[in-house]
This record gives sequence, C-alpha cells and structure tokens, in this order.
Amino acid sequence: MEWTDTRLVSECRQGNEQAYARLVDTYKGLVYSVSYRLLGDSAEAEDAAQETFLAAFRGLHTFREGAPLAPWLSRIAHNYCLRQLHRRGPTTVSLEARLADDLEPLAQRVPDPVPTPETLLERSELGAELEAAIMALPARYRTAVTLRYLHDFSYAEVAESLDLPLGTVKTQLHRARGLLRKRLEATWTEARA
Amino acid sequence: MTKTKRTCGLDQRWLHIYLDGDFAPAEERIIETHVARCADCQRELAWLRATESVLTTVETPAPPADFTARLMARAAAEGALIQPKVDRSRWASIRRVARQATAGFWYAGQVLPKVSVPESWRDRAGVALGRGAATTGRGAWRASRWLLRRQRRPEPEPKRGRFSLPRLPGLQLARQLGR
Repeated sequence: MEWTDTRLVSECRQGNEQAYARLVDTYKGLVYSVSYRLLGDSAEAEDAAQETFLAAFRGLHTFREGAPLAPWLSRIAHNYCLRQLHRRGPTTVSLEARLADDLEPLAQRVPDPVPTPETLLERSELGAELEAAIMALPARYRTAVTLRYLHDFSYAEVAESLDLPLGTVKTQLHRARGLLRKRLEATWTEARA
Repeated sequence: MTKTKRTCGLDQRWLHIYLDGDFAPAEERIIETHVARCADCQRELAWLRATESVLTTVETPAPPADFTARLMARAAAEGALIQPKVDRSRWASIRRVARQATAGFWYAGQVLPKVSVPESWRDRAGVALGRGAATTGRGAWRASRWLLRRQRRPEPEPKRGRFSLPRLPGLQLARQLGR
C-alpha cells in the first residue's frame, strides 16, 4: 500500500514509529534545503530541520486531515529559521545584490548574444555564483526561490507554505528572478571578458 | 523603489507575467508582437528564460545520512512521538461548545445571585445575557455550517489569465507601447 500524506499522518497519529521515520525520510530533503538556504550553514540547518520535525510531530494532532504535508512542513521550517535569523540580529546588507542593480546599464551597452542554458551550465563558476546569488537574496525571497525552483512547487503551494497571498508570492519571485538574472548576466560577461 | 519601466516603455513586470503564462490570450499576443520588434525585450526575455532553466539545476543540499536515526532517537527521548487523544467526530466540537456553555451558565448561576445590584440592572443584565447567548449560538451554528461546506468543497484550480482585461486593459497596454 502506498504511503500517501493522509496515510502517513493517520499512522503517525496512531503512534506508528515506522510511519514517523518514513515521514522524516520523505521530507527531510525539503526541510533541510529550506533551512540551509535561509541559514546558510549546514550545522544550523540540521538543527533547524530537527526542530521543524519535532514541532511537526507535536502539532500533528492539529494538522488538517487530507491536506498536503510539504507546504505545512516548509512553513514550520521557514518560520523557525526566520526566528533564528531574527535572533542573530540585523543582517549585513548584501552589496553584491545592490551591485547587480547597477550592472544593468553596462550589460545594455555591450549586448552580447544571450547564451543557452546548456552553455551557461558548462561554465562551472556559474553554478557557485548562482548559489551565492541565491544566498544574497533577501530572506523572504530565498524560501520562495528554493520551493519554486529547487523543489518544483507551484505558485499556489509556495503561497500556502509562506502563508502569503498568491500575488505577493508572484511579486517576490519576479523580483528574485530579476535579481538573479542580472547577477547571472554580469558573471557571464565577466567570464567571457 | 524598483525601476519597473523599460527603455522601450514596456513594464518589466509584464515580461515576468508573460513568462509565467498569466496573461489572457489577447494581452499575450500584444506582448508577443512587441517582443518580436523589440531587440531589448527579446534579450531580456531570453535571459530570464535562461535564468529559470539554470535555477532548476542548482543542487539541493542533502542532510547527513544518519539524520533520520538521530532525529527519531531524540523524538523518542523527548516524548514527541506520543500524540494526544483528539476526538475528530463531527459532534466533538458541538460537545465542546456545549461543555463550555454549561460551565459558563453554572458559573453565572453561582456568581450572579450573590451580586447585589438594583432589580432594573438585573433585568437588563438578563436581557443582555440572553441576547449574547442567542448571537453566539447563531454565530457558532453558521460557522459550523460554513466549515462543513468548506470541507466538502474541492480546492479551486488556479485560473489562467489572472491578469486579464479589467486588471491590464489591452488598449492601455497598446497605448503605452505607442501603437
């Protein structure tokens, strides 16, 4: 019998430890990924993922029957990590993200042909640069980008995960996409120079 | 504030909406006609598409191999695997409200007779209590009906063409592009 979300939740509620372990195995990648993208540190991300699952186990009796688990778990992880970031104090302003804004006119003056995604991926430095660019995004955009592009969530699922209106999530993702696009083009232009 | 207008007059946000396929067909055609003539927008759109494609290839970090084992040990030690017994039947919430109401009335019955207030005040308090109870009851009944209806209703499918004519009139778009 297939382990659907509904069955997982129902078995966990009955105290089946195997179901708890399966729930963790199914969603640990998602929860860890969201935590890592927000906190930027693997040890802290692991702690956050553990706290997320513990909070989910404790709150499982309040979970709405038949609802998907992924947005709920992402929301718990997102909120926990935001609290951790808040505790760390004010974050440093990303100069790189600001620089990306200023790079636009330069890119427009020298219009190189736009490379295909395959060509872009051949440049190994672009992968690392893109990772850095995601981490330089504002925290509220990072989870949206992680869920949408790295975990293939729909806009509606991202909105549910972040507990935000659909329009707000779309705006956030549009801005994030714009910022990442500028960074990518700047790196590409530098790499070719 | 973020700059949204492009040098050609097109709003940057519209390229994103177009890329998401959120325009109604009429507006989609207007954007396509503009992009076909505007090299700058073609380039922007190509970069946005390339960014999207590359983004989906970013590796997702994986948790350590023993993550589940360590988490389960911690959860068992902290008693997080024990779920409280919750009655999920349809009548459970009604029973809960009835229990709370009974407790409230019992408390009111114990306390109110001991308070010395003029007769007229008592009448008014009685009337107010009666009205309050009636309103709460009506509200609870409506809320329960609404919740039941909501549970039965399937989740609506996200609509295509969300930013359609009333939000972004094609005429306004065409005028802005100078056509």
